[in-house]
Amino acid sequence: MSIQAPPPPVPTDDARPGAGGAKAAYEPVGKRMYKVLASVPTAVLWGLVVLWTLPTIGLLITSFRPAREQFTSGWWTVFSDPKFTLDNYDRALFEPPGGTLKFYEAFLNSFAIAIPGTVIPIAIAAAAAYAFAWMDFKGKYWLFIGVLAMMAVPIQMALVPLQQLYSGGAHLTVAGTTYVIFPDLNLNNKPIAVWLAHTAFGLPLAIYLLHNYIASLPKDVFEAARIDGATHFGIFWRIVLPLAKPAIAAFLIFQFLWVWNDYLVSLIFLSQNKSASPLTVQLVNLVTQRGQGTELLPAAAFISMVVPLIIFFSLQRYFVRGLLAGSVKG
Amino acid sequence: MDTLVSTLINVLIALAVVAGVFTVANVVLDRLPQRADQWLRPWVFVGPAVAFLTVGLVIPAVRTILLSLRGGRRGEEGFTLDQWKRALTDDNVISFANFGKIFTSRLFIAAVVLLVIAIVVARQSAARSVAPGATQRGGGLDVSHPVSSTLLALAVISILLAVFSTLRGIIWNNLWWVAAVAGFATLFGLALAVLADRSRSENVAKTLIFMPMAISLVGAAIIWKYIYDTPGAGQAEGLLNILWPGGPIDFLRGTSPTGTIAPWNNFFIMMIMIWIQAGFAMVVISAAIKGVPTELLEAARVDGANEVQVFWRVTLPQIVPTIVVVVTTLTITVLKIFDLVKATTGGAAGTDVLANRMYEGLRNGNFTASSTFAVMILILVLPVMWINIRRVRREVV
Repeated sequence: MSIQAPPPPVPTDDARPGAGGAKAAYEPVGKRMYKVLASVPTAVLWGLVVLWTLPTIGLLITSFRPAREQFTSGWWTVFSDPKFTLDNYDRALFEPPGGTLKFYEAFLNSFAIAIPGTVIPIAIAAAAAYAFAWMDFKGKYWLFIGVLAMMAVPIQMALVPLQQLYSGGAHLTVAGTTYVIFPDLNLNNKPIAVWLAHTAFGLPLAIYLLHNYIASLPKDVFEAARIDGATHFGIFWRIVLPLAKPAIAAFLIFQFLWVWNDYLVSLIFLSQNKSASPLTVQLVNLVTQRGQGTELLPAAAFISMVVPLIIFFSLQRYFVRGLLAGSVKG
Repeated sequence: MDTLVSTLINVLIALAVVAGVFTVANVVLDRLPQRADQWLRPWVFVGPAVAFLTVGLVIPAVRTILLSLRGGRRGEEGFTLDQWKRALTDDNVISFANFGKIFTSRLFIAAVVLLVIAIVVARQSAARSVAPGATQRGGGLDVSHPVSSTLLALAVISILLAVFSTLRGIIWNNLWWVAAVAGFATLFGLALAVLADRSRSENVAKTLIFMPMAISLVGAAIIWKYIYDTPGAGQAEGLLNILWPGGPIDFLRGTSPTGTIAPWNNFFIMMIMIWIQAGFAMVVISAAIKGVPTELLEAARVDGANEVQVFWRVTLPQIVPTIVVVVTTLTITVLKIFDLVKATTGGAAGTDVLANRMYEGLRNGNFTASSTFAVMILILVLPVMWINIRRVRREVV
């Protein structure tokens, strides 16, 4: 039984009978002081909120300003001299300068990487998480600790050998005979190279998150199912997957945003194939390009942010849950 | 469009194959004798994950370590340790040249002053809290006093900033990143969580501050580029330069008509990360504050503690484990920092970091150098990783 928390303590000035009254002029100094002081934290909070949002708002306004205005005055001048255009978005999406990749194509490329990079690790991790939570096998404990340890390994540790593996496969020469351990699939510069890497990098966290959730499901459910003759396979499909939906949703959102926002992995594995670049890579290409197209940069940045922002504002509950649990990712 | 459609078809095929193999394996196992089933079944479930992790993470990590020890650009020369010798004797990587200047830097002196005040306040407070008549214990320090703990935290951060901003080299730079981002993002997060707690507009405020966590680091770099811009060809003056007294400063490269702000241009890139991660710290800490048992707070209030005392003496000690989690998490994230540096300066103007060197090595085909910098990141992450694994182990197994 929980005890109801009493209301926060009332300041003594408030409690005095007759203090204040209908006319503000009779308010005792103490009460007025208290009111002023009590509003300070809220004022500071909102000051910080404005400070935190201002950069983003500024860029959003800039993205709608014509090139000439962007180059000559700051975004705050729109309040005295409003001039807006959709031209920047139009040009960034469909005709960026210098014949570089159009942003609508980069947008689709981002999806082509992020969808498989999210779905495949979940499928693999769900099965593993169930086994770690509800099956007994030799070496389970240490295998699980090993998986958890992988979570914090920096992805930089895997990139060089992965690139070699993608382009040359892996061969083992024993006594003059060469065995092919991993075939030369020539995956570099294809989207699959990026999302396969993301699958490996995302697995430890996915297993950890889903394991925590699946392990906390009531034991009775599994025992009842086993008594009814269900196999592990049946339990997994019919009971665990439907019940684990909240955890799956949380990881889904976290991993999708992680892959969508990733820059390094795409930069490395798609370095020779500019037409497969996702938004992040294309955005940096636009920054480093001198001169031409600078006015498109704010619009391009918002094109790359629109999907994360929609997910963030519409599915915030899952997003926070996934992010809090997943903040330890390597 | 074609890539997207073909990729989606491939994904569907891949998923169908995975599900098919998984189903067949399970159906076969259903027909096997009980003992074989018990032996094999777990591996059908764990197998794919273990295979992916082994091929994609474990073997590559081991190969990276071995590669870093070898000579030649592609490791063709055997275990010569060339890259490590070269890196550790390179003044651009790690230099102790400015060691003496640490103790005369303004930050360090400020830190010492803060530390002295913190200790004096802590002693005074400890002396006051001893019950009258009881014999005074020598050397008592009351670090949970509001003034003392605030100053202590600031002093620790200032000392770290003084050390890492004075010593030059990319390893020091990475550590500076850790101290600045983990320190300030946590402090901001704690302050924001406390300010927002029980405020009427708590959720709106928290959402807006948390928002930068959703966007990419590259996007954040562009947002801040428009804050830091100097007036010039193709760009207007950024907001910070309007507010900053004196001539326009290129905050990212550290140059200005009147001199240089180097190496503090690094700090302006770090500010972007603080801007992003403060929201993360705030959300985690806020959840912890709400989790402090009400009975504890009530007991303190009944004993006559005011709200300030309740926070510093009851709430704060209760959420210390959470603050440790936030700091370790930020440390792991920040040690790998790459996107922000690459998208703002590309590592020029003394802003280089380990992960950027790792990338440059890979891009230039110098795989041993690249691996060496990757292993350096791993070595710096290891202590934090150990703390994390210990915590997670206690939590889940």
